[in-house]
Amino acid sequence: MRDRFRNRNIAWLMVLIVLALAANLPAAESKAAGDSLGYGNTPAALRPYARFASPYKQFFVNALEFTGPGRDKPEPEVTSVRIGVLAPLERGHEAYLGQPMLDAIRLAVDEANAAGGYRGLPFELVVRNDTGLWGASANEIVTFSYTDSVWAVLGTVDGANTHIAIRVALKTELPVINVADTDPTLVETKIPWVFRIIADDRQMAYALARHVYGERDFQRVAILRADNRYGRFGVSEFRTASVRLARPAPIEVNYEIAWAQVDPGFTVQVARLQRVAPDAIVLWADAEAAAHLLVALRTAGIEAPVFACDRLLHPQFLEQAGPAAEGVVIASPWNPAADNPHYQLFREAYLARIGTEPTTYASHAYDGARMLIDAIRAAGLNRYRIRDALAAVKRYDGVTGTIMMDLVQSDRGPVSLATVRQGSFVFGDPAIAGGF
Amino acid sequence: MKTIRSGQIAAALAVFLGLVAGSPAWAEGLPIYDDWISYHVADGLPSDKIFCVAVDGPRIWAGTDQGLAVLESGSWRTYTTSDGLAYDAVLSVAIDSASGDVWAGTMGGLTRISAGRLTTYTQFNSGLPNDVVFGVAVENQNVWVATTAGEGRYLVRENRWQVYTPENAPQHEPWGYGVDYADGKVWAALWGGGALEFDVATETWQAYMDPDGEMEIDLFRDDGIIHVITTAVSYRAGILWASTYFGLSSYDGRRWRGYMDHDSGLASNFINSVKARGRVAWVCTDKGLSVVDYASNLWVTYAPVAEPTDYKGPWAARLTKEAEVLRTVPLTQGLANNFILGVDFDGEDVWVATAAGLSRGRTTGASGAVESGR
Repeated sequence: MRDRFRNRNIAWLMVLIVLALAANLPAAESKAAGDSLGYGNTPAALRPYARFASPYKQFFVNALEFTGPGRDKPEPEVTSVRIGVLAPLERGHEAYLGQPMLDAIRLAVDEANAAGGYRGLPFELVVRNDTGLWGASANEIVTFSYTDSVWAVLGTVDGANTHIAIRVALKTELPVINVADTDPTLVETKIPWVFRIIADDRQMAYALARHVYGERDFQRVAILRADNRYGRFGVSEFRTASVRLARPAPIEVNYEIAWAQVDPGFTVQVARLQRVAPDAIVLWADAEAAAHLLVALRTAGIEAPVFACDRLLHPQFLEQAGPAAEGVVIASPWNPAADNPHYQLFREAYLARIGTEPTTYASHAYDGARMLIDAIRAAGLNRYRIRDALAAVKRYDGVTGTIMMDLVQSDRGPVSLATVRQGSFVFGDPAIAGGF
Repeated sequence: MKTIRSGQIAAALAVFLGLVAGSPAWAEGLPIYDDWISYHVADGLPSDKIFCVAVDGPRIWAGTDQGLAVLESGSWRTYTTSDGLAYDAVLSVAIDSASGDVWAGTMGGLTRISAGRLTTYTQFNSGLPNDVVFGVAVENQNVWVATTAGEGRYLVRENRWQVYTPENAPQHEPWGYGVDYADGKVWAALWGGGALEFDVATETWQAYMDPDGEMEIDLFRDDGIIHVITTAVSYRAGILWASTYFGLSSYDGRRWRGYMDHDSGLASNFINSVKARGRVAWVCTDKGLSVVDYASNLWVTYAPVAEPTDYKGPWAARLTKEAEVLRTVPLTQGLANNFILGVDFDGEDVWVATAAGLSRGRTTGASGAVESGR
């Protein structure tokens, strides 16, 4: 009896603590806005276990290093300087992202060759399709390393394929400049051969969480995502942010990648969201799937505001969603509306060659190619010295703005939000308080 | 001649330091390996980049990035694709002590060398999950592989494959990175998935993940595996050793322990692999080779003296109890490189795969040992 009484008191105490924490939420958020941001631009209130314990060990507080040999290997005799490109180009649901990347990389390489290449030698692209089949990217890195003899690889998009690729790149000691994988865990592996020059889903999730909870004050925000690693890890930081801000998502629904064959009307997802009736929805999906989901939601009468990932920043989304896209707020790893002369020059050149506006991933791919070419020119034809040259870059003024590399060699430049208004993306709307 | 004289002086100095420290009988503690020689391309290896090493009786197998080399009767022979090897870059080697077969995990498939005949298994001609074979281990009459598309179990006598992925084992991605077998248990190291235990008798799996669930921190010491980016596992004498790029973990069936470079004698938290002999683990890091005794938490770390990458300079064995340095013993000759990739045992000798050569270590007894009672 006494135990029951004690347990009941403890339970009430726990409830009071939770309520006190919840009541303190606005204060905690405003404090976070003023705090310096931690690893991955994480606000204090969103750091793991921050309210309960200090970690025994904080990782990623020292720069990655490669301590192996190889820097004294002499330059070989070559007739061209080979650079690998691994991107989804055909036969995959991410091909709509990969082809513009390749177009932009080709543009950067052609410009570099017009400017003399590498000491008179031309840069040459070796292009391989990232098919998305399990393990295929591992085999491609082996071929890049030992058969193609490239000096580095640019790519990739898919989080799973990239993880698979970088494990092999670590063994073969091949620099990988990632321009399109926003999986937060990619750089949390301590591989000194990987460089990511695009802001990740962690930063974009924080920006959305700040806006959705801090500025819009939504209480019950549902999560709707792709049933793959992109969706699962894309929403992970938003999911945990919701919990840490005492507003856990009432539901997390996923959809199959083969939705067009399985359930083109998204009837399961719509029905589940109707039952929950959330205040808002956070959506992590590819552009085409997102468009059809939006149409399905709005057709079913679900009018909850939608906040989404950067893959929606693609003309395909606007075309296929039509009026259903109006008002959708989208996280962006950069702000193309910023006054950036580098971007204006790139945009003009890309438009002239390709005939369309450069996409987010095309722009980052162009920056990645430029960074790599600069590193090769500075370091010479030696993978180890090229790695070192890339690791030495802390800030890079590119077409996507200032790329700010952190200790795990990942871009932590500020992200932005965009809103669909009258069929167009309006960047910087809404503005984000604080920088992620 | 000058070199010999310098070596003799250094050896005498090492003996003197050992005597000053009151060197104990080495059997009571960790022996100090003070006699190192290294093999390179000039000695007959196809490459100085040695991914792995395996001892096979009188033969030493070395997996390099340019072929599988074997040292026998004092000379090297190399198998390459022209001999039927699946691929020239060899990441892992395992010996079937019952049959004498050699299994080589390459970046282009799995090769079996049996009575001089090479047979290759790829993802296109067999059930091998993926051609990049990071790890290989022999379990009874079966062979396990760790690949990027799952763990494979090849039932040799039945010529049949079993593949374990998230569909039939507790893992969220099928990213095998290492595999080991001993005493009825197969252990797998998973990239992003911690460690997996497979009980051969019951054919059941058990997963061990980082309890805090976070990539950027280790919340509490000794609460479980340090990190889920697990690079290798070794199970001996009832103790699991799991290496990560964030430190080392051990598990005796009841209690986890974590070891990092700030709280132990570990050379570096970036660990490429680990292999145990009895209750002693040999830890292959990017800044040297560390040895730890489970019972006493005594360490011996072999590393360059000046900078971690100064492998051509002087080396020393650093003896520590947890993180407290007990003494340092200079070595007359260091290992081939500080970037250590693999290790195997040859009686009391040890063979070490490094990024710039293959080393063999012996103990002369002259340098003493680190004793558990100190």
